[in-house]
Amino acid sequence: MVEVGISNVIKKYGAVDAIKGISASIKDGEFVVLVGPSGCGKSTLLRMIAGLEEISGGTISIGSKVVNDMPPKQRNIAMVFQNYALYPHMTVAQNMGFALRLARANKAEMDKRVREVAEILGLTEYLDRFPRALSGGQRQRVAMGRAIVRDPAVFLFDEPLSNLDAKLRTEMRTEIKALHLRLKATMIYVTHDQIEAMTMADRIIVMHDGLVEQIGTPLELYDEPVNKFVAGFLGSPPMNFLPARISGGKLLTDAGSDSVCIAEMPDQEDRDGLDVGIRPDKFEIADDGIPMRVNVVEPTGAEIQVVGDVDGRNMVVVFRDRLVFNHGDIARVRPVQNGFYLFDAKTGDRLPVA
Amino acid sequence: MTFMLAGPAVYVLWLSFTVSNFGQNPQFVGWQNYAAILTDRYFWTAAWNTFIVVNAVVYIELLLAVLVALVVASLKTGRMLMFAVVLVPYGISEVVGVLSWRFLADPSIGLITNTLALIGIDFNWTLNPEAALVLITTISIWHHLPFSFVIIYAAIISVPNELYEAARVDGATKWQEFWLITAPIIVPAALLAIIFRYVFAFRMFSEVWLVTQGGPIRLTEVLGTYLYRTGFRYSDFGGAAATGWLMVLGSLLLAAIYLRAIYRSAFRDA
Repeated sequence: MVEVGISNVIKKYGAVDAIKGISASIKDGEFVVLVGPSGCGKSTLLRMIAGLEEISGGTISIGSKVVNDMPPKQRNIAMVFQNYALYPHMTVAQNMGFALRLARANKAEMDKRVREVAEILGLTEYLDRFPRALSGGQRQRVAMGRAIVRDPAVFLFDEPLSNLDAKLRTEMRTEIKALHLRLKATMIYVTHDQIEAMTMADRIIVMHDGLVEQIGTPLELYDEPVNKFVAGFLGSPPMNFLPARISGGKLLTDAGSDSVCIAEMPDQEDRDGLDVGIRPDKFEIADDGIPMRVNVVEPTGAEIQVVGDVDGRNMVVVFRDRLVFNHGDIARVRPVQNGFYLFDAKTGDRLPVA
Repeated sequence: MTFMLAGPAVYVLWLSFTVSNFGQNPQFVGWQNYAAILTDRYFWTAAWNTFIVVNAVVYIELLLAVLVALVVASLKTGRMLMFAVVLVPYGISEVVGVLSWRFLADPSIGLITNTLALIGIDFNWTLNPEAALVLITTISIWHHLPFSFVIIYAAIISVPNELYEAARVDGATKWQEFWLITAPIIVPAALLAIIFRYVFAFRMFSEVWLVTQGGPIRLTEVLGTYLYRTGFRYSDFGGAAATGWLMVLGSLLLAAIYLRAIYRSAFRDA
């Protein structure tokens, strides 16, 4: 059983705290995605798990062993790098077999293992090529092959798809997921792309500014974000936010000189300083809704994306009906029943709606 | 441009088939100059010395360049300062450099000679041709190390850090990182440095002329000084020109061998 335990981990670079105390436990065989905007510390955390960065505080354990002071090679991990990090002077086969060669594996066994893995990844015919003679997608596969050959307890992926084009990225996403089902190994995957996180993860760890914002399954995070950051980070197009207040049992937002009622909230006390969050697909047309000026209309076939603004605040609304909008129209929209979230505008924390 | 390069070369080629000196017009003599040189035992001494010194210079210098480049590249702070310090010899005039070494190695009062004498080594290069060649080799390495260093250093720092990280995760020791990652990747750069240094060292002159003038009894002569002595001491321009062409052929042969090696290491592919 190989769990990965992260407990109060801190990373300091001089006076700068890159990671400010993170705890998480990753279960055996789980596919966990670390996601967050650039500079949030996700890659640093991954590199600390790999043993490529020192740990300034707290502990990281792999299996039952605390690995803080263990060099990478003793941690039983394999890592796939963003730029693949293939050895340019070695063939595909030599790249994939490098770890086994260092471990002084039997030559015949090594060849057999490399061939097996090349078969899985469809690399058999490229085994004698050098990396420079491969396409980006093939290099990516070799990098994964190099990790798989070692049969590690934990796979670490550092933004492995960010150098691929969109189509290949979608394909590789599925392939990595299939690989996970096949190998049943623990995998930790870093990305800044929330779609990768949503589609691949068993559980997502959302990071921001060196801290964990929320940990949960993709749908938990999507449906029940604990704060404005998580709500705004996951989902595409992202959630819309408008300043709001509760007054006389109504949730109100200001549009121009008018106050527009977003929803009836008869049981709530009056309060200011709220943000209302509404996902783009949770709107309906209503005569007394929020007046949104239409700027751009983007039909995708299945749906229509309407990009507009309310008092200069950008809004994106997605309709599945084929409604007709023109540039400059005022569209009156409001959230569907229970289709919105409330946040404290100062702290960003989510507030109960009912 | 072509004329500027080829003109003198062709003239010297013609000169090498003639006999001439000051006050005498060149007379065509065919291969006579070449025959004379190739049967001159001083030529063979000079060729042998050149062979020994050049190989010693090229390979010791390459080894030092790799070591120094590895050390400088591994520094966390002061990298640029060390880089500048290593480059200093290249900024010193050849004559000044050689004369300084000559002073340091002066048989009676030199710092180096006296230090070596303390540990029981008699380093009198004015009497001992081997010692003189060691001194000449040392000076040449000292003076040109920055050249090899810059080439090797550039190659070393161009190796992406991710490769070392991947190797560490794959289980490589520091030693294996060097031999299995760094060394193979810098081979083309090292071959390039070797070619240039072979060609430079092959025409070595001032180190020898300013230290021993080829003596004692022409035992430390190299091809460069042999040529100079033939041409300007014995006024045998034809012989000097022929020596020059033999040196060019030697350089070309060496360069061809190493260029082929570079070509193979850089372009081998499946």
